[in-house]
Amino acid sequence: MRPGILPLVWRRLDEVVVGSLLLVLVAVSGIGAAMADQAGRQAMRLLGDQSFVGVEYPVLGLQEFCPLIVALVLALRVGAGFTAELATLRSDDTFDALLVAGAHPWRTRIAPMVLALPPGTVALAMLALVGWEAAGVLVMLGRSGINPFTFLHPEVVTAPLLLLLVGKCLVFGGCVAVGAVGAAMLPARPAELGVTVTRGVVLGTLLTLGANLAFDVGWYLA
Amino acid sequence: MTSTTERVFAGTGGLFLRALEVLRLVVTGRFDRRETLRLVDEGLRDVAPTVAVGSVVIGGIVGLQGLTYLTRYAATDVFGWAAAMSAFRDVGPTLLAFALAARLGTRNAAETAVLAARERLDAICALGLDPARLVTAPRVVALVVISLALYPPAALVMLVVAFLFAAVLGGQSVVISAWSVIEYVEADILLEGLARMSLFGLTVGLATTHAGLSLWLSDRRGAGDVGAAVYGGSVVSACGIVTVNLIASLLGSAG
Repeated sequence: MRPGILPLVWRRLDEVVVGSLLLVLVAVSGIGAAMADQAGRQAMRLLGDQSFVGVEYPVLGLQEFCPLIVALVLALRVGAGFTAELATLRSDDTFDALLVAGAHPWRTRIAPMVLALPPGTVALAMLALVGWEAAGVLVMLGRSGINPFTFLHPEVVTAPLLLLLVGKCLVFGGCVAVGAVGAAMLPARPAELGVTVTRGVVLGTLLTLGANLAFDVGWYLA
Repeated sequence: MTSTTERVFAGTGGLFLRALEVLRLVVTGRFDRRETLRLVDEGLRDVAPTVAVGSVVIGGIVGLQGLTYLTRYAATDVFGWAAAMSAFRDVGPTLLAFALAARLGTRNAAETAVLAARERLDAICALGLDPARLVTAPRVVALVVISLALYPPAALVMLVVAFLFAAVLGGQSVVISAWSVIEYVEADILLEGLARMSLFGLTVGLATTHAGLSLWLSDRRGAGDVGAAVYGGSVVSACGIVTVNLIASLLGSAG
């Protein structure tokens, strides 16, 4: 009896979300804290007023940085891992052996990776948004003494912005998956495993950056 | 079985010792300069297309972000300044560092791991040579030099693309944008950006070289272990870039 694909997707989802959560939170919070601090100091220097930072900061996270940083981190971490795993299977002929044995490696190995990455990216970006906002609150409180309740503006989180975040994450997750699978499936010698992993990460990163730009142009024109 | 905390402490300690080793060799000038130059040349030619594409895309992102605020606050005069701040110091170097980690970092980790896995490092030792002088220090120094060399053209491309995007999509005058840069942006910002890029290069160089060399003293030297070393180097690079960016932002000027 062929095993169902859902448990396999679930296992990959666990690898993507739980396995990357700490790194994603560190990355998004770190970049968020740096952005909030710079925005606050520049606003104070130029305008003498930091009140609009709290309004713009969550929008910047939702619209741009949470999906982008999550995807870039996933390209470096999960993209590299998936590429290495698939390329190893290909280089030691396990992939061909699985095909011959009728074990359907495309269905049991590749499809779960491709199906898990987009929803995993969405889940991570949602969690990262909390880290982004918390980092902003802490930095503004610590560096400028801004009251967290003054800084928090949940009303700016609108349905269209959430839809944009979900849309970006789904596409970015797909980009990372395409980069990993595409690079691993290209012919390579066993000794070139490192080169294949590099190719997978670079492809995922560039596809993500390009898709982000396309989304931004579309969003601005809309 | 070691816990994650133990591995993090062991990894951080190992990285710190590696950094001290490289620092000692660089300060005393006892590293292979010819190998460093070869790596710089090879790396620059290898990474140039990725950085060119990355700079254009990042410039577009910077331009569109600025354009959103330009439209909302009618801030025509300061668009150039805001785009320059993003491209030269805040967003540009950080995203560029991620692209650098993806291209050169992973490649560096893979090459070093293969040197370790194929016993080339053992061969260097057997010849009475020092792998730290021939492999470790040149690789770290080369990544810093490459980062520094790439920053000026990449920052310029990002800014020009940001101006072009704003002009085409938002009707923002390129002349006003350029005037805004000349009027408001201080030279310190460029120096800060350059300092950040060199620190990012140092972080990526140390993290990926250390990850590759971790195979040397272990008995795991298979193809999968090379992939795991590349993967480990990528993760540490990402953490390092974010940490360095945060420290640089907190210590840097307001612009």
